[in-house]
Amino acid sequence: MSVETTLLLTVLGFGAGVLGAMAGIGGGILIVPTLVIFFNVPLPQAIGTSLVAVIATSTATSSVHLERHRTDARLGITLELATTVGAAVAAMLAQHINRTILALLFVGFLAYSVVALVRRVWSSRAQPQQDESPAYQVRGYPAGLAVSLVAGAMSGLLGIGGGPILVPAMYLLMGVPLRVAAATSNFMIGATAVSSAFIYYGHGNIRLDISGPLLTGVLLGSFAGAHLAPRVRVRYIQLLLVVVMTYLAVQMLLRVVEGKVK
Amino acid sequence: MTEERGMTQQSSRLDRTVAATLRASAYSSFALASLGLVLEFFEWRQADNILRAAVIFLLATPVLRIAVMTVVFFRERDRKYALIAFAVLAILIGSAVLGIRLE
Repeated sequence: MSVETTLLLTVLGFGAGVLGAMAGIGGGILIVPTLVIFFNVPLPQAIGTSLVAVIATSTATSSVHLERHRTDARLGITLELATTVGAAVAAMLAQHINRTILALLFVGFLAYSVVALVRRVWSSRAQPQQDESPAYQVRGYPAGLAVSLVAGAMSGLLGIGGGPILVPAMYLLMGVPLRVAAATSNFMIGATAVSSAFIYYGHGNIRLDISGPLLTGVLLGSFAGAHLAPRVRVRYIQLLLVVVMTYLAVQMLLRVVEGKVK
Repeated sequence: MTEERGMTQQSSRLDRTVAATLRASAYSSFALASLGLVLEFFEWRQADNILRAAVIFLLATPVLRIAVMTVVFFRERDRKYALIAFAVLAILIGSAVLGIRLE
């Protein structure tokens, strides 16, 4: 691989890491389409390689969240019972699914994430950010575990973390404060993604030449993002993400229409 | 099933131990990956193996994290969560074995 490509991949990782850590979005949703659209990587390899980046983001940022006591590690490990199974099974299925369908699923997930993000920006416009999490009781384990299974499957299928599914599930169904839900989801993503990453690795769908620079950038970006997060207006980051994700969704859809998905 | 969530001393020890594990792994993996990249730039032959090691190290991190959690829960005599953590560990080892057999 050329030095130029290596540098670009490091920059991509850094960008995804910073944005991901600051907005609480796993970098996977940005990395998969970018690898497909700009680096011409076949979709299954983009997904497998993105999982490595997602694990890196989760590892780097959850150490920071844990130290700030925002993560509910007990809740996390319980839900991981479901996410890891869902991820491994979906990863096995993903190797045999038609790539056009996979790409369309990805576009659908991007669209869902854009809508969810817009709603979050809209509803948070008046309220100041809450800093302390109130005491809470976790409830609704059966529903939470069921949604976790689906979130794990989406992660294994699309190379993403599953945060846009897990966070609302914990918040709405299980009574967990939003901040704790976001930190706990981020914490869980590492174990979820690794469960499917092993399967992608076995199928030769994790590109080492891409993972190296990507992972360097992501780790650097995640640490920077996690430390910057309390000092930056999340709203601007979220708006930037809306624009980037919409662009990636349109580009990805164009590739499907033109029949260029590899 | 509901449980009271509060900041007990036990959960803060769990948080600190797991955070230290993740931090050490992230730093080591970053060191390996950047070393691999620099060596690749100078076209050193072992560069690929170092990059591979960085990726495998990173893949091992969540497994290690859950192993650490299992031990901490076990030592705190929190049997329920020790069992849950152990079950997740078993699932991950299962998918790792499956992945290796596919290779």
